[in-house]
Amino acid sequence: MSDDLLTSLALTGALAGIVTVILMAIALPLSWWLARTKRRGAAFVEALIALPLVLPPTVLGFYLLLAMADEAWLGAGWRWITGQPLAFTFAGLVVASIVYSLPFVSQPLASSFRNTPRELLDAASVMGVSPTARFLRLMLPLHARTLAAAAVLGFAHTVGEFGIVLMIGGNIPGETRVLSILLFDQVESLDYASAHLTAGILLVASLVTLTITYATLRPGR
Amino acid sequence: MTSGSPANGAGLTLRGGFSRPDGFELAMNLALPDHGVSALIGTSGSGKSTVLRITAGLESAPSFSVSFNGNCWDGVPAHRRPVSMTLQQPALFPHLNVLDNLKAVPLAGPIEEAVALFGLGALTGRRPHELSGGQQQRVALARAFLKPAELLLLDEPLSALDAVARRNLAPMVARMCRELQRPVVYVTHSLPEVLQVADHLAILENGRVIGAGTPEQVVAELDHPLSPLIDSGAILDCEFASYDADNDLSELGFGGQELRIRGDLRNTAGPIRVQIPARDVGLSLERPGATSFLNCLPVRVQRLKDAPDGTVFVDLDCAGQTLRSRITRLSRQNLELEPGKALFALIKSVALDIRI
Repeated sequence: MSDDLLTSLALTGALAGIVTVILMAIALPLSWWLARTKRRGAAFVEALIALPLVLPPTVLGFYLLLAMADEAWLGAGWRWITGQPLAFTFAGLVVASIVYSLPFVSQPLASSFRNTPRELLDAASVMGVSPTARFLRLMLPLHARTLAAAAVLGFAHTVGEFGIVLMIGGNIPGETRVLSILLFDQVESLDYASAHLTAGILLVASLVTLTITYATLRPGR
Repeated sequence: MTSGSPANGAGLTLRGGFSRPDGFELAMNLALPDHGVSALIGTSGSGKSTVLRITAGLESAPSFSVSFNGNCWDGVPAHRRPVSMTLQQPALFPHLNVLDNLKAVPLAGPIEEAVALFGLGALTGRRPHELSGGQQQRVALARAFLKPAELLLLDEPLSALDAVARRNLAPMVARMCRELQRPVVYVTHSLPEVLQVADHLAILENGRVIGAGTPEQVVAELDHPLSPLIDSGAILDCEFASYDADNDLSELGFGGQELRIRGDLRNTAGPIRVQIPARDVGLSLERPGATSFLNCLPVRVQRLKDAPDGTVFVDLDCAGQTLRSRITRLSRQNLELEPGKALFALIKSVALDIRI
């Protein structure tokens, strides 16, 4: 295996891992809120989260690129906190990946949370369990399979994204050149042997991951 | 209607009214005592479960106020109220085994005691889906038992079960009610289910209390011959005397009289209440000879009262307790009934069955 491939593999793994952890931290409370709230504004929040599902990645990438520019709010804010730029950096990739992978994590969670039987919530209340403890100690274990599936989908989708990564990350080895970009490079330079290996790794890894996910989610287990 | 209302605010007070867009209306001013078992009886749609859920804090209703022992609970979230409750469904957490379901109660009392009381010893390692309906309900009762609470609410604890499971579980619920030493509010649509355990009854119809008091009072005062819930009549307080296994009849005693009713009541603890619907009590001037009526009790007419539907209620003194008969006006004429007249009350044993 070439150094290029190993570097991209490690980078992709790190990106997807970090993004998945942050995504779960954001999506769990957000999805619980979306599943439980009766506020009208919730529909708009859901639509906002779901945008990456319907928009061409380039549209999202374009706006993220503008926002991450040094003089724009996101880029300037980031530089103010860390002293570093956001566009064309690993941190920028993390931020973008969170945005475009969020619906893949929050939607299965929210739909599972919505299906929580009413009487279980009531039972927890009359047992004297506070809403926070109810969520952390009873609801999260109750929905453990969906949690696992959502995390895997978030991870897998982060690994699989190409368009946005290209627009806001560019192609910097060890910084932003993830596997999907590496494959693009290899094909561009007609290095089909390496391209086969890279594409094969992505294909097999994705297939295995999805099989495990769907097996976990199948009812009657 | 208020009854047994303690002056110092002890017990549970439910006061107020509201109507919902679906047409459901509730209006009551009900005080339940701070001890013993209070049964809230009503048909489905009468509002009994809604009242219980509001009491537990699971539902909120504007202009309806709940207070217990002088403390107003309005606005207190469900998990902070000192109540324990069983829901209509067992509502066990499917990802936890029986023991972990019990341990999920914060500040739970001694779990071994609850496991023993509800006979769960062999089931602790099982998941809810491996249990029968009756077993699940036992776990739910044990869970409610474990929560340190000042008030226990039971929402139709037996109605989701089949007849066999119901008869097995009923004595357990009764024992729980007695051993808890806390007031219990027991919601049901069946008077027989609570007749032996209830110290206090309140009857709900269309969101209103139409009768409240001791079981004896309520059943005697309920002059609605058409009440779908409870046949107007009387309750006799009896003691178990003997059991005739050949004929499956139990003989009960009260004030020197005897009453034969269906079923084996040897294991019934304490006094036995027998509800005797007025329509099942016939009257005769003489003690009949050969008859299928197994119960023939000497009685004396206390008072006569015309029922709204043209029949006549006859209240009878029977060994110091009151029995009620419902007859036609023609029978009143034929028997020349008037207060003080001595005669015999005839009751078929098949009409008497206190089993749930």
